[in-house]
Amino acid sequence: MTISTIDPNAIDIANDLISDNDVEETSNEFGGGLTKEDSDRAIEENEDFIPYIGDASEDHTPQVTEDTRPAHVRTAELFDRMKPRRRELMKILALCTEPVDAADVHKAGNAMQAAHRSVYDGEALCNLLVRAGALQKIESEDRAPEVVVEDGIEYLKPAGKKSVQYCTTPVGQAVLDDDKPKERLFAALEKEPEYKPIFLRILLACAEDGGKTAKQLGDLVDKDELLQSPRRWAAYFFNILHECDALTWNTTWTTTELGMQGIEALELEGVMA
Amino acid sequence: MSNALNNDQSQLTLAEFAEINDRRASSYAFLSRLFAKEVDPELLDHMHNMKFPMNTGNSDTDEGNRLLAGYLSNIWDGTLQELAVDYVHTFIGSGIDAFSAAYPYESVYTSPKRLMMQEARDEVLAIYRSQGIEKALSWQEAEDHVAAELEFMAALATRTADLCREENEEAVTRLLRTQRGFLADHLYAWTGMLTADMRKYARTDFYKSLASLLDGLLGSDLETLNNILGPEEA
Repeated sequence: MTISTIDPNAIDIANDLISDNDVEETSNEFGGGLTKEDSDRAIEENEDFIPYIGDASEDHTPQVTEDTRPAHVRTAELFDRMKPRRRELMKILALCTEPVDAADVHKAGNAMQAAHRSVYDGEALCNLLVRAGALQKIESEDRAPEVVVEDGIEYLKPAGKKSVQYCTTPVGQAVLDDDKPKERLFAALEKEPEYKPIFLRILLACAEDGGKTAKQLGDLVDKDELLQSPRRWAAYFFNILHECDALTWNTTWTTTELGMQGIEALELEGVMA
Repeated sequence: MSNALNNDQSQLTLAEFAEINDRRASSYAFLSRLFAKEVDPELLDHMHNMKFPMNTGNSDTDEGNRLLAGYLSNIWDGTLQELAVDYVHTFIGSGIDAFSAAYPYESVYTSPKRLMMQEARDEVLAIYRSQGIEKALSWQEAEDHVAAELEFMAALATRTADLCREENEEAVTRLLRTQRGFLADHLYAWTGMLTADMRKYARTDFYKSLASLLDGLLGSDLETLNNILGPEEA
């Protein structure tokens, strides 16, 4: 045998290659018990050597596990994580209390965000709500293509578009029912009653035609004595009013119907802007 | 037609053969587009209005047409996003190694370590250049991407049609041999593995049908070229 002429290291590598046990127990990317160093060295020494790189019939795609938590838990988590999109999610749920064509809902979802950019378009928001269980997709039955004959040749002609609608689920409806924006607004006003004049001034200003920009609101209130100590700025107040749905952003800050109710309540209280 | 071309096609005039090559070019270009990037609204609309022949004589093509027509019969407003997601899932994947998607590069399937930009890419690049073709600056992928190889075949088929109209039989024969060689040595040699992976990873019938359509086109085109040119010279 010519074994004495063979590099002892090559023998070790050869043994690894032919050892069934090593192939079975592979745990590294090169399989067969080979380390990367072994493989690199083998390639250097033997041009014909092709390292074992795994079985191409395997599928290493990470498996996605189904979320089996109850819908109300998933929905609560969605609203908790998507706070900046809360209004849009609520509006979609409110829109779909009766079944609505999916295309219309997607369009409405896009229109809701026309004045402020989001990576989530209307369709993405709907998908999130469907996955959370707050919205359901109602699809018509699958259709088969039509067989048509032209010049004696049979063709398959796709059927027209499928009907898909969205409808708010009982879980989604519960979210709508639990939302009490008026109570949220009044709770926010009562939390820091010393700032009621500032809130009123901002609501009144934004109720004017064309609304107000952030700069204009800043010019309106930033220098007020009430806001000097502790130092507060206009943004603190219009963000609170926005969270309570008393203000809406549509290229300017504009008072909503709820905000008008807030104005009425504050004026009834005798608050001076 | 000259003796260089097989008797099966001897009844065709060059003008008729030009039309056949126009159709070949369209088929290759269509599949190239589907592999190159996600479906856009115009393409989806166009495909929804197409008619798909039921009995082409090629079982892969028939299967692809059946699946595709069935999928297109159930499109809705969310189909484009569904297809975009499946494009990524099928061809890009979400794993961290070379076994999580149907990577559409010849090098991946023909190199020992399933890497991109290997010998196959260098070879096809040389072939493209020999025909005076280079990838466009806007195309950011490697030259051995399946979409590029399909578009190369489309370009050669178009040239063949033009040469037929110029009645240059010798050039037609030469170009047909080039196409057969590229199909046999490159495109058809590796795409069987690609389409097997596509059937494994694709979630929509759209991309599963694309696998069958690719198998059908390449198989039948190679058969046609062999019939036209006769056996390959040793």
